Amino acid sequence: MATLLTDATRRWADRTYPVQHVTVTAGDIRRFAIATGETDPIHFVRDAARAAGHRDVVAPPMFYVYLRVLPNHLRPRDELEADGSPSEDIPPVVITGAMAGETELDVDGAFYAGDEVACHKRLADLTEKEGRSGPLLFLTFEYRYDVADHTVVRERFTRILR
Amino acid sequence: MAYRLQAGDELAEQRHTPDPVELFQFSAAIWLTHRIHYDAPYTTEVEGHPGLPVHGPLQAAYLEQLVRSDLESRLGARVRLVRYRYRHVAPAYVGQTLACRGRVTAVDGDRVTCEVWAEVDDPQADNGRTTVGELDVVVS
Repeated sequence: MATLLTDATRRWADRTYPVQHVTVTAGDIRRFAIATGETDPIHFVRDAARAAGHRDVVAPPMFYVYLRVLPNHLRPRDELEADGSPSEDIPPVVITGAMAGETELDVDGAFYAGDEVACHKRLADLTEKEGRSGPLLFLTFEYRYDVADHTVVRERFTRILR
Repeated sequence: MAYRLQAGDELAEQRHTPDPVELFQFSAAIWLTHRIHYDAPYTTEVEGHPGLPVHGPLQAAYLEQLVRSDLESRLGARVRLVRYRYRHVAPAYVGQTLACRGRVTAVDGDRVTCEVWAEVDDPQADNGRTTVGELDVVVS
């Protein structure tokens, strides 16, 4: 059976990536809220957020996507590929395609304007399965977004390479 | 739970037809530089897509809002997301209408589980589900 899982690839298992730090601003939350069609003033106005019991302007739950994408993509043009995506920090493997698999989130709280978020990333699992047209490699990344040592969002995201 | 809510309840459908400006807004909001969401000639000629794909996480955001807005208006209380599992099963393209639908699958105290899905609902397109998910919210 053909395999994508070489020894060099296996060595990537349990790889931990450098922690990235992102400071969330009210402007970041406002842009995300507008882009996703939110209208509740708790995402735009501090007084409205406080009146609803929040400590500051609060982000909608899917805002964590910004914390995943920004540290990877905020690079000069010459550090991005022709298609605009960052050079892949994934195991060395000859692939013909990638598919997004499943995303699983656990959420405990929310992100607020002023939060300093520590974004942790780990390649938690690397498994090969036989697909209909050849081997498929399942990469499971674990992300953790912490504010002051409290994990607000934990994400497991599986990418499928073929 | 004191609320009149039970497994099987259908959520009020929400429809979205994201245009290129909305795709740009989402790419900009998360600083996503990937060309397939804003550069139509590149996306069709080089990548072979029929159009600009709608971001998966944008669809997931629509589906989370579907639950939040339906339950908050139905219950008159805030709900907050605690768990969400979602998967993109087929692409959706700019200009297509996405019908976001869902139903309550379990109610356990203040915790409500819903299944949700976005499907292309457009006489000009191949209809079918593009994103599916399951999520838990807590009513406060």
